[in-house]
Amino acid sequence: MDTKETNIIQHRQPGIVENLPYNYEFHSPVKICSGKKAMEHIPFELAAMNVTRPLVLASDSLIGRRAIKLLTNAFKESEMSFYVCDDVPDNADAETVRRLTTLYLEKNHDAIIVAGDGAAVDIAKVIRLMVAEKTDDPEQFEGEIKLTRAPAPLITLQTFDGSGLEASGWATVCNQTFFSAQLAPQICVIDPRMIIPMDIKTTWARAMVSLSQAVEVYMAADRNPVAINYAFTAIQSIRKNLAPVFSKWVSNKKRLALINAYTAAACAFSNNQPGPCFLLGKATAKIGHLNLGTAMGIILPYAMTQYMRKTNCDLADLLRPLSSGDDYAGTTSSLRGKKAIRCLYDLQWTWHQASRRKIPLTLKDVAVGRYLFPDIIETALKNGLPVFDKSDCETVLEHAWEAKPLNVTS
Amino acid sequence: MHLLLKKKKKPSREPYREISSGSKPLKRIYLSIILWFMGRAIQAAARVDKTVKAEFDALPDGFTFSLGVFPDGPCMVLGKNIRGRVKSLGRRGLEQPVDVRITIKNIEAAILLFTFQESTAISTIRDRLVVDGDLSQACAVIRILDIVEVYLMPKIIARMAVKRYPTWPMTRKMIGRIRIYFRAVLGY
Repeated sequence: MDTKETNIIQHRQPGIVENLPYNYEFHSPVKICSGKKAMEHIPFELAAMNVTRPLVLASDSLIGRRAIKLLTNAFKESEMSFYVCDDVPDNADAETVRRLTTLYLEKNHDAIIVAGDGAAVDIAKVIRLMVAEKTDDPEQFEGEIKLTRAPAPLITLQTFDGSGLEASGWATVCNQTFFSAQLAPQICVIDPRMIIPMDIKTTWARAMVSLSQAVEVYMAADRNPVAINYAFTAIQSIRKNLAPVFSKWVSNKKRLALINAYTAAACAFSNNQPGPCFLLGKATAKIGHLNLGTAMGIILPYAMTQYMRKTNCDLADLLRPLSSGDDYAGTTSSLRGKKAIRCLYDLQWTWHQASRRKIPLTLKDVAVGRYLFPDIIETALKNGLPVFDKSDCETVLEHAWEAKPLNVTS
Repeated sequence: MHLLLKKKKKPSREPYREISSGSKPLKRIYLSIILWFMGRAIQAAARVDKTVKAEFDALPDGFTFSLGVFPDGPCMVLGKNIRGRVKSLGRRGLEQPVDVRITIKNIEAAILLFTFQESTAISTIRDRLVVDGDLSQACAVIRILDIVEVYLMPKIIARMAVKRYPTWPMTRKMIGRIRIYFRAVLGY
């Protein structure tokens, strides 16, 4: 690439070219169908994949019932029947997964549509894994899996509530975590009719999972420009739309934008190994019996600062989605990383104010005692926490406990 | 008496059940009528309007196109014979392979398009249409559709249906409209 061409690209996308890796891989099989009457496109998409007998997995909840009603309407005039199994539990054991896999095989289904939250999607991913690998024991798989055959098509109906990993290749069933890029759904349908507004805390927590995922894409050592663009979309959309949706009277367009952001963050995160924010947050949620998003939301700015201190990595690019274009342009390049962290602290404070102080800012607010820190650190390190050692984790948790900002320069 | 007042017990649903694809008869009938009339109106417009005629002249002789709803919904098929005359072929036109097949992905998308809640351009960018065939010829078909919609609809509706409402002289619009309606109803 000659200098002139490089300059043009640098002008359009600052921070991308200088960090362009020599080799990288990006894989995202997810097709996003978003917008008005998006669900009506499902029969067409199924026909394009030669599917004739789709199985709909739904939880027996409000969102599950609404999804089935909408799907029944969407399949009208499509000349394609679908089969519903609406007794999918929230916490599936291996026996339930086996029962659903047997049902899938016995009735000759060739695709799965999931109408429900994260748990139902996880079960669907494991069913596809077991069908593709021709096994009836999900416990034999653990961690990263290389599938020998392509799994059956999966369509997810994205909801406002969820685990945050629906559009990714990750699945967690019976305390086992599986990952394969092929397990990601083929199509994510984001229909405004599937949006059920949640309370402020749940909304914030859900957004924080995706924000952590997107920020980790920026922090990853093997980051690539394609994943960064997905993460950019996610962070910017969360920054702009999260505070307004705390109000009940806001239009569904903002909620739709947030679901799009969650899907984009999950697609980007599928291409990265979980980093320190995600794993430390996960461990805190597990030991402190917290919502995953709540733990991640509290820990994120501190873990990010500690990461910068430890690795001296420059997160200047992160300022672009976290602030306005004017702020970015008005900040010297050497200070952009620090400003990005400042913006994250400010955003947390803005959300705290917008929610009328309902969302927590510290671990003390959510009653995670200091005596739990050793257990949290041990769990995080056991899960393969990268970059951070024990003292880094202690620093992050101590600062997150009482909202004491960390300085980037140690 | 109390037997009448006794609350009917809801039948318990099977956890695994088949839901067959139903139908939307009213929407289907509406689309069938509008596509049938649109086909005849295009046939008439090809003889009345110079722009439509020029668009068809640029297409090869024997050219056929269809506009229909997936998978087997209402459909309009038009063809240009070897003498250059445009004719609405109805569903029987699908017995032969068509050159350009424009498919609307579902009946709801077709309703949005033909109740003019969305223009053709908006429908296209929202991925509600699929084109099978030469893209430049499909664009010509869309241009023809827009012109015919301007003739058939009053301005207030046609503005929603087309990308840009044309600034035609009143004589062209009114005389053309009468001639097209007349020919479309009589079918020549």
